[in-house]
Amino acid sequence: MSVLVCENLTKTLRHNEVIRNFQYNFLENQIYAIVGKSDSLKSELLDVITTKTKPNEGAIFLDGKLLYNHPSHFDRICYISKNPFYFKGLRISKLFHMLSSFYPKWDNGYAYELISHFNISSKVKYYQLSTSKQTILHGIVGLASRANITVFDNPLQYADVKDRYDFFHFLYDHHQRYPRTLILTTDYIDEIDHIVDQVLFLDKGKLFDAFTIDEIKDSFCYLSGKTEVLKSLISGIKVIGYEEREKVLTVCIRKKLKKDDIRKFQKYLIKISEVPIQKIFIYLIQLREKKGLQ
Amino acid sequence: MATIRVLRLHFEAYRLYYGIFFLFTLIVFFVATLFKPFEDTKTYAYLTLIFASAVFSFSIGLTEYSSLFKTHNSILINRKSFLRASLWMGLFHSLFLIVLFVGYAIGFHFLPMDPTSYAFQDLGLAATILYFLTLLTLYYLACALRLFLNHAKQFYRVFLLAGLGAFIWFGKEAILFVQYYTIRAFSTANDLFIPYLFLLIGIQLLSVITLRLRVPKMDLI
Repeated sequence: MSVLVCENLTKTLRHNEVIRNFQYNFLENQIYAIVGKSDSLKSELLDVITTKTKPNEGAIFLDGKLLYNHPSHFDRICYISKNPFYFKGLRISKLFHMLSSFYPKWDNGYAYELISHFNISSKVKYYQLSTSKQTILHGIVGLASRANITVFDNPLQYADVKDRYDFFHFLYDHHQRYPRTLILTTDYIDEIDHIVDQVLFLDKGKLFDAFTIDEIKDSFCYLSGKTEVLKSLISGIKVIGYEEREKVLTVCIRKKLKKDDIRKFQKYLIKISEVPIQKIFIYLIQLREKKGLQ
Repeated sequence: MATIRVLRLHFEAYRLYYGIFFLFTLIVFFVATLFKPFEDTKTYAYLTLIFASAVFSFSIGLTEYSSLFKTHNSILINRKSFLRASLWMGLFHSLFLIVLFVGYAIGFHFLPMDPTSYAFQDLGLAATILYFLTLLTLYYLACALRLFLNHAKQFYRVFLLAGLGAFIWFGKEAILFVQYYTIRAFSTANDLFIPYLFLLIGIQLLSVITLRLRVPKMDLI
């Protein structure tokens, strides 16, 4: 079992509260995606969750035991930060060999399979890899570690779309074979919404919303149609965002549509579609900014 | 177990540096052998080995809490196992250097040179122990210093530049100063064994206490 409980985490850096009352339970074998703007301090949150930095207030428990006081628990956590640092002269093969002694469940065969897929030679030294290959290698380390809790900070951020697609495909397959808790921050949530179980929205170090993928699909939808028609139909419905182009209005509503509602909209030729998670995040952030919430 | 695997990380990371250092000492030994008819060859060979070992220990100590600590933390966030492995590493490192030094000292002993010309004739157990402790002290001190200056990178650079500048400015005098005091320390090792011992152990303890207090609580960013 590996349940990571974060209780009221608060972190202050240079008199600024960067993480504010973060409270969340990361359950076993789930995939969590943390979404936020560049100033949302996602990396700082991961640093605190993985105890790379100590919170000023609050505590982190792994299976009911305070993580900070049980160093043996660290073997069960693999944290791939945004820019991990590996000793320059290390060859990839040596790095893997070493990692196998650090992670009890290290899957060396899988690591080699992945580097061969991404055309990374095991004979080269780490610093000889290009930035994109380095980020792919970091991702591979995270997957092959098979740690009970694997935390990625924006994995494959410098890799191209194809490599990211392949990597997340591998991630999904591997998670199916060896279920474990994955926590990742991402700037490409719509690329990975099919593999994620829960999405957490973060703003300036504060968790302001969390949904399961099913909740998102049920609770948010796009309605688009002629502006004057649609405006008359949506009175009383909670609109979180809208876009208007050439007299066609598209609104994002936060409501679970019933069959009657769907029939009504279809009658007036209003198109109903799914909202990309990234858009939901943008609309919610805009609402927060309008309301002056921090 | 956790300490052993971190020591393996040390081995992987430093083996190239140790290889280069070993090669360097071999070159020093062979140069000393080749130039044996010259006066003071033995003295300079000893001085080079002593000085190089000291600089090597200090550099390894600095690298320990910069590159290697970062590498370790990129793999596993366990400050305590790194601290323990690092302290053990200091011991193994100093042992390696002292074994190397004693090996070369035995080698030098059999070199047919003018016995009156070199300054390390009375190289005994006391001097060897003190030299071992000096290397260990330099390693621990460098670790503690690097940790202290972790958040003051500019100061760290200024500190290094100032040291280098002073060395260049004083040039020959600095080299003579180092020579004189190194030889003096080795020749007075028997007489001043206890004060030297206390001084070195005192610095070591201070450095280790600093590390023990600072490492488990520090933020790794």
